[in-house]
Amino acid sequence: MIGEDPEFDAKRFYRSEQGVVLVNADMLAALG
Amino acid sequence: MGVYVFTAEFLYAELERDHRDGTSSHDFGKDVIPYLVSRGLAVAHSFEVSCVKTTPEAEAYWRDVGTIDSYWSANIDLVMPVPSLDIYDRDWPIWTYQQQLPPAKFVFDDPDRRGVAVDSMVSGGCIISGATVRRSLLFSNCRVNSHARTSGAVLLPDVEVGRRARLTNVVVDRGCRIRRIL
Repeated sequence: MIGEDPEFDAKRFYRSEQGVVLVNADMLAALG
Repeated sequence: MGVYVFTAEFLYAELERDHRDGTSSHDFGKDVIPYLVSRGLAVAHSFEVSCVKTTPEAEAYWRDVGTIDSYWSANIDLVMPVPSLDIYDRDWPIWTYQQQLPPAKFVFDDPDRRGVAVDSMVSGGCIISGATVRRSLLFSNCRVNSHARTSGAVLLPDVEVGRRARLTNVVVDRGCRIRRIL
């Protein structure tokens, strides 16, 4: 799930002021 | 914001001058352009005058996509039934490189595993395999796998969304693989 839990999203990805979540390869790689 | 046209020689000279200016914050919009305007070295053309509009009454279409929010909004606006920018206007084709790709494909029509896209734009080479795509814009060669759901998703080229993944109001960068569990 991405985009349904603001706090969880902000920890893993970049979450904008308006709640749009940016996901890129580096962020996914950091999750292991 | 706007579109700027320079000769290369003039632009290089101005950038070097700004680089040497210790009082400058070296911002194009805050420093370089105002400097040129203040010295009468810039000429402006009103965008409103030559902008292509969906209808004569419509506002001139311009979007600054310098933030994630504005980039997302500009893309998602295109999937609206009547978007501010009509990219289907044959009188104003978009001349750009397009990779030769097979059409988008939507497969499986089982009650619990149906490949559909609604209020969305799906580019060539995409496969929606038993997934539900709503209010989303998919660039080329994306794959959305079974039982996955997207809403408000902007997927750049070559993104793969794994089985049962759920994406809401996202921008996913080129080539990312979204696994089922994150």
